[in-house]
Formats: sequence, structure tokens, C-alpha cells
Amino acid sequence: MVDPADLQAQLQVLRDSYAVHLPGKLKQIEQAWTELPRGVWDEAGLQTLHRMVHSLTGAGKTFGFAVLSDVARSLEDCLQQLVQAKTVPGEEQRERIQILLRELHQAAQHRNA
Amino acid sequence: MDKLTRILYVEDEPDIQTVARLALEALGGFTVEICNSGDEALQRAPGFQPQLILLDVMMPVMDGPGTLKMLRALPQFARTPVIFMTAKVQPGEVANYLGLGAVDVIPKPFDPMTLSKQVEAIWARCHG
Repeated sequence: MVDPADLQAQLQVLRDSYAVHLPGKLKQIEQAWTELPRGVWDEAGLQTLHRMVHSLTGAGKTFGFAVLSDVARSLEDCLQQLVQAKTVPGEEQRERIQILLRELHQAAQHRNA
Repeated sequence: MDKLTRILYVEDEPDIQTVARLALEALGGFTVEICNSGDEALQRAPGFQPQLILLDVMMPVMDGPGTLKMLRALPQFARTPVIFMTAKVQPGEVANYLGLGAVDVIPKPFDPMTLSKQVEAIWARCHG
């Protein structure tokens, strides 16, 4: 077993690596959203997007991005409702998702100390 | 009570795999076998003989509940303690996991510094 201080140092390396790769993850999410066809039910596309956002919910805070996890959870809830209801997102839902996507980008700038 | 040494962790997210392995091995002193999917867990569990299984819920192809069901169908894992690790922790969702036979749920995001203690506490409770 290692000293907790050593573990903290190793965790910091992982957090730094996560931070480096985070913009790429957000870009992929943005792209998956953009590629979803308007007005057409695309279950596979929506599930892929849901999984990508879910990954941020579950990992963000662990890697020092607590706000990111919170925003991702809100976005994930939106997407989960669509997946469960098998509903094409309406204009209001699209707008809500767009807002949350913007908030995700902002949250990525806020890293915990 | 047997000392907990072997943990199988089923998780499709590489970032989480890495940090969980580090936390469980370095702080907890456990031997951790990581599987990327439910299917891989079913293949590797018999050889590894885990004492406890940590299981992600949302995975592609075979999700956590589906994996648990398949593991339970194998006689050697019929009673192995399974803990779900998930960000989906609404009260109804947690009740569902416990109803499926999980012994507990560790919410994600988790704190790497306390993960081992959480697992040890659940293990002790299962054998108390």
C-alpha cells in the first residue's frame, strides 16, 4: 500500500490528464448532438449521446470537475427522458439541451482546487 | 471473516478504471481485475475467482443489471457480493439495484481517497 500523499500525487497526474482530454470529449458530445437529425427519431444516436454525457456525470467530480458533473447530470436527465419516451426532441427541448451544452463548456473551465 | 483481497471491477470507462484501480490497489491493498464489459466479466470471473464484484450500471451491449443476472446464473457466483457503482442513484433506482441482488450501491462520482474504505465497510457488513 502507498502513502496517501503519494496517492494524491498520482491522482493529480490522472486529473491533469483528464483535464487535457476534456475539450476533446466535449467536442465529441457537441458533434454527436449536431449529427442527430432534426425531427427524426434516432435511437442509436441519442443513446450514444446519452452514454457520452453519462460518462462526464460519473467521472467529472472524481477528476476535479464537480460543476461539470452537476451540469452533465442535468443534461443526462434531459436525454434520458427522450430515450425512455422515444420522443424526438421538440424546439423547447432542443433549446434546453443547447443551453446545457453551453454550460458544460463553461463548467469545464472550473476545476476544483 | 475472510480478508477481502480479490475484486473484479466491471467498467467500460477507461478514466474511471484507472483511478479506481489506483485507489483500490494502492490504498486498499486489493488485487483488482478490470473488465471492460459484462461479457468480458463472464469470461474472466471464473479464472479470477473474485470475492467481491464492483459493477458499473450503464454499459453498452450488456448493462450492469444484465451482467449481474448472468453472473448469478453461474453457481460459483450465485452469492458473491456485488456492489453497483453508478451515477444513477435516484431512490427508485437504488431500490431496483438492491432488489436485483446487489448488496449496496456506491454513487459516482466517487472519492478515490475513500473508495477502499467504502468497499471494506460493505464487505464487513456482508460478513458481520
